[in-house]
Amino acid sequence: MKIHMTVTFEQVSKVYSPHGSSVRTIALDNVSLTLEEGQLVVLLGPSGCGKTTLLKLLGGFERPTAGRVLVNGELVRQPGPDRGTIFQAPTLFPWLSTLDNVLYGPRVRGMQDKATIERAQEVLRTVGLADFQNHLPHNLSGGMQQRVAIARVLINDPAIILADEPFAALDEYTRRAMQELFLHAVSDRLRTLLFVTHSIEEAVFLADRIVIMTPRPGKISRCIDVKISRPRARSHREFLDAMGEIFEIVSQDFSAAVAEAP
Amino acid sequence: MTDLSIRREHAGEGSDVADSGISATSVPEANTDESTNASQGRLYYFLVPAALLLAWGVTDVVRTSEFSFFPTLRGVTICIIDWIFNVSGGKFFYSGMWLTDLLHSLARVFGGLVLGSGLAILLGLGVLWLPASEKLIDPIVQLLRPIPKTAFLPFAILLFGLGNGPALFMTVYGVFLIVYVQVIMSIKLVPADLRRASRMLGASQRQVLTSVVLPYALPGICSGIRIGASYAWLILILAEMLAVREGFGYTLWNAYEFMRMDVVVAAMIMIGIFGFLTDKLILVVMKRQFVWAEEIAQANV
Repeated sequence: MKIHMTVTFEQVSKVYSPHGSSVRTIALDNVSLTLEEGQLVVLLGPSGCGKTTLLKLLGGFERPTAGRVLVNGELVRQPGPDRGTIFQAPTLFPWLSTLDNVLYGPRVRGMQDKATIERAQEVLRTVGLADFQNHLPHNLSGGMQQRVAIARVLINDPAIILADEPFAALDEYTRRAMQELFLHAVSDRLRTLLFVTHSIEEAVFLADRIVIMTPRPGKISRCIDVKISRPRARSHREFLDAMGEIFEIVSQDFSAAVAEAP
Repeated sequence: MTDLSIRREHAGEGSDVADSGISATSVPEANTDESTNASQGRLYYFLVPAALLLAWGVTDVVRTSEFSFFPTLRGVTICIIDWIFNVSGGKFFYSGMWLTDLLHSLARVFGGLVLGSGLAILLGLGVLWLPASEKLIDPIVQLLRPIPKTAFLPFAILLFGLGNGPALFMTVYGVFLIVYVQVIMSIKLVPADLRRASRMLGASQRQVLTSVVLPYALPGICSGIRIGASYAWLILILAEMLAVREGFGYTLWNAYEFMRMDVVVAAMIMIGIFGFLTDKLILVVMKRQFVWAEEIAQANV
């Protein structure tokens, strides 16, 4: 199969040294990873394992201390609409209506013709918010706000979508519904997706490939391809077995990390 | 495939029902609550001023000689009527001058407010554009802030001569210092993720400023302008006492020199009323523009 679009992390390290402090935190230590086009890769691990840092580097929000982050062989230098990001909090523009939030991306790039507005309404239908176009964010529930955040990324039609624990703040039921909605919403074309989570269930439900990371310093411990056919049923034997397998690996990593800790 | 879509629809419906339930039932409830509260609040609003006026009216009749210097309600009322309508036929320096005084004072307050706030917002945004500029401006601002702003009045008069110059300078200067500090603070409170979201959606650095930072900071900036406005009235009256020949401040000081305490009180009342109305005007604009920041506006009411 010919690969059209790749994302590569080449021996990436990221060290944080807080202003005026000699304490250095190694968030990522020499991490290499390749994302293939059309794959949904989930970064799984406890907090402090560098999974969000990896996502910020690809998003262009931060620069690596060493190594390179490449999209199609080109260095990532700054954020851009080709890499849509869904943050942990919805981060909507609070003074803009649902529709205007979705239209923000097209507008800053000089597009606000009738066709664009119709496209925005179509995207809002996809995420089930057709009737909430004129609501301000603070009048929407947390789940609905996060759906607007998905819609405003989708309208830019990015080849890469990044998601940083977008459903972590939602209750169990809303979260499951959102995972299904997310899969449906991004399935309209071939995209490369990088999804950060600490939930094993979420990882197994979404991923083509799970990258398990360990903390202090942040490293990749193992990559696992999830071959369960879609749509995935959470109660099926296969699904539960996959969760069990990953749970075993994560527990081993965790006890090893605890044993190594000073 | 069908299995997935059915389950998704159900899940979607579930949360939508819950969500629309919130907006359909609790919002009207909140509205009725608010309207009864508002009419009750409006009644309370007038209660204390009315009681004070009444008490003052009583002292017109019942008073001891020690308080004879204090003007009567009746005297002040006659004064205000003459000030506005010139019923005495130009007998006193203030007769019929009210509208002239009002327009001059308003022009100076709003002129100072617009120029001072505009300068503060421009320099505040400049700090975002060129972060180093904050280091240049900040020490001067922080040094000037504790110095009583009124201390500059003698220099302003020497510099600009008598007239509108020193009055305008004093209001612009006072408003600028107050609003600038608030602008810098409001801009710094814009969440980093909101700027990141803007960049990620395709905005240029300049667009982040105009389409995210400025709108997000605006309620905070307007709070600064509110404080600035009350300060503009305060400092204007002082400037008018010394530098000009019309305005509420001039009338107040001139009346004092003639020992006309009834006119002094009349001028004080006018300054109070128009200071209050200026504040209300800014609040109304804020409430209309910043529905999304309602909690901020309400906290300020």
